[in-house]
Amino acid sequence: MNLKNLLNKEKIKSWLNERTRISNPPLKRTPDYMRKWGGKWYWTGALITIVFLYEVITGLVLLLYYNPSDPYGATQYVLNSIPYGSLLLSTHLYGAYAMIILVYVHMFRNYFAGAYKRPREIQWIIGVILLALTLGAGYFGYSLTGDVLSYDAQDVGKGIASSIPVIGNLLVNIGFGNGTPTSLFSRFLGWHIIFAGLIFLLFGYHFYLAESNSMLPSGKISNYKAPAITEDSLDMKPWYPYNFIYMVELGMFTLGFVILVPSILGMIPSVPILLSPFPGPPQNSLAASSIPAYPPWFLLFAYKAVDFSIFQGPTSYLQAMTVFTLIPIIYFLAVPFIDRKESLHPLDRPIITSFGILSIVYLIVLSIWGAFTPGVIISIPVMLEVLLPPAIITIFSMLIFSKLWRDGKLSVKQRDITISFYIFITGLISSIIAFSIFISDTREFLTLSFSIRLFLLLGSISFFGIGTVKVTPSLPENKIKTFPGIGYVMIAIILVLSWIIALNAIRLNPYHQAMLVGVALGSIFILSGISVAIYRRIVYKE
Amino acid sequence: MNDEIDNSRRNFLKLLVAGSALAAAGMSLGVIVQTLSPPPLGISSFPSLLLVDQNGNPIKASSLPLNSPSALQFNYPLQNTPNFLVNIGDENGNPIRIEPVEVLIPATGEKYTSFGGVGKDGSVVSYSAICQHLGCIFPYLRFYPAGVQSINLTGKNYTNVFHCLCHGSTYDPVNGGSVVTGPTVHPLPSLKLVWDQSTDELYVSNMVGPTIYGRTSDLTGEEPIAGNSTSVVNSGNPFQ
Repeated sequence: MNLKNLLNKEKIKSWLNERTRISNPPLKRTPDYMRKWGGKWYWTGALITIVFLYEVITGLVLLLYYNPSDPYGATQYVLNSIPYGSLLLSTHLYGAYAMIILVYVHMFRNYFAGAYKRPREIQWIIGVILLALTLGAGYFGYSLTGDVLSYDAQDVGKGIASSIPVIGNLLVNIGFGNGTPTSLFSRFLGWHIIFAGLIFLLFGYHFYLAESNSMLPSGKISNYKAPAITEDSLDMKPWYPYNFIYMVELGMFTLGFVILVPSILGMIPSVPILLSPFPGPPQNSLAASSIPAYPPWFLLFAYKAVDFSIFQGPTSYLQAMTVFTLIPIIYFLAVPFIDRKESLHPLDRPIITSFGILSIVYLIVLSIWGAFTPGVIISIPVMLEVLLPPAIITIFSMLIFSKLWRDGKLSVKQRDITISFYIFITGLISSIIAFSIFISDTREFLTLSFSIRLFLLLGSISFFGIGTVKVTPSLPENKIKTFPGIGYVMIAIILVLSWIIALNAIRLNPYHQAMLVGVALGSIFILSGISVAIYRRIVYKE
Repeated sequence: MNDEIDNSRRNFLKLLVAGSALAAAGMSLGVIVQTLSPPPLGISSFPSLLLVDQNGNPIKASSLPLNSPSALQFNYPLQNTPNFLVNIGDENGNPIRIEPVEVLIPATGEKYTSFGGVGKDGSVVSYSAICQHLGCIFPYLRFYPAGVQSINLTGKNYTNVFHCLCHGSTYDPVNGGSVVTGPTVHPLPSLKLVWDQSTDELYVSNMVGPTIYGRTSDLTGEEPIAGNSTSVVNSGNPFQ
């Protein structure tokens, strides 16, 4: 056998494939529409997986430098003395934020789509547990830095745990150790990694179930009836290379944003401390005294609930946590057994859909409220004025829309709802921020007029949006024919640009210019993602 | 697979896309690998540090007690690197002038010249306080001053020696820290003290001999000492 024969490309390929099985992994094939431009909703779980892998890799590197007996010193050492250390730490933090947001997006998407119904009940329940584990891992990880916010988070956590009767002190000891700082931070580190490990294990089963139960098909195919299964058919394109390349594209975009966002924030001076990609001042410093006691932003909703004067007495923390955390979690765990009808359409389940919308609204309202008025006690009338109008508006309007839809007077598509929802949430956040700045001056002025104006305005905007938003067909056929020419040029430009950015970025100082390197790296990832997207469009017409 | 685009054009396109993906992957790999390796700790040359007490006041050479079994220790050239500071005299309480001598490293057969004593009588010397055998420190490694303490080893009495209780290594501070009895095969590193005659203050500025036990080099592996001084700590009398 001569060398030429040995180096035969096809032979190497088939040798490798026979041993690595790369081209026929045990993964379900998916229909084309899921990989189309509007099909991103089918891949929210994949996005979480990609971010989780990023967290594992960066977390393991950070683990090599962590020291529970000097947490703040270890954090500062990573930030200042390790090459690209500030990039590593800030993107690990923002990766966690991205993961938390994506887990919520994934959950609510599947909630509104009715994906928790037969045969996916257990898959859904594991998903809800995974949400709790993700928040837990986030809480412990956030507390590892040893800055003032980490001690605040510890105080809030301890307060909530110790307010539980009988087992409160036991829980505090289990969660936070015997009281010495070293024991505290050893526990934080341990729990952070244990939670991440549990996420990994449960994710494995969640993913196995997702593969076995197949992807929830589009409503058009399932006709909005459970059990909704994507039948495996030979017409579907194979997983490799179609889905593989698509995963590469999603991975490039996801990692790009996870790296880019904190890198940009890291170069802006005076980012609000709750959103800063870097740790705050040490707990025992003068600067710390001017920072209100904040938990991590993703737990602000529970923190604000503690301020409600309706919850009184030594168990006020417990009461607040029960109403605003435990009951919602139990509700989401139980929803497959509460809503057992076979219909998957959101408008066919007005109350369930309303609860979903309200969960999101309350999550956002309470979080922003907590961020702007930390520790300010909220009286019962004010609480009701803020929390009741959205409930009334949402439930009544959903019931009306549902009735109209059932009578055939309202025709909406899944996509219309999601787009309206985007508008609704964006409007909600911006209005709350605008109002909250106003509130923080006159704290008690959180009145009926505010709530009503806000929710009438936004509610009408969002539901007016339903049905009026035109669905643009993704990539019409005639466009594909004109694509290749520009496509080639763009891919070539991206190639050159990526290498120019990369070669310039590696010359930057790995210490004080690390965030600039992050901007470069994030941009290269996004550019490469665009390149892969163009390639898929030209070659696969997807 | 695709009729319109032939294979060679497809492969060319694939190559271009892979090229930019390679830039992303390569750069990430480079960043990750670099974050894995912490920058080495340490300094590039031996600093000159003033010996001070725990309150920051300079140590006066003439105030150092003669033949004291109490351990005076300071860190040099980096943190967590203790060294003894001793004022050596004979049995009658007269200071011994300690001269630089040629010291043999039994392990390698190499020789070096130790630093002599300083102070009014040339009797103040400093040696590494980490045993060269297996790294034992005070109180296992201790000074046996003449006329105060002695150690009996295989029927012979030794005095004015550093002796380590862990495994029995003995060093002679009068003769440059050279090996008196094993199991050690390395003498104690000798520190260069500088005595300012006008102020009676002491500086430490260099080190010779084998590498400090447990280090790859004398100047790396620990945090540098901040400032221009290193404080001398009295760790007490180990014989009490």
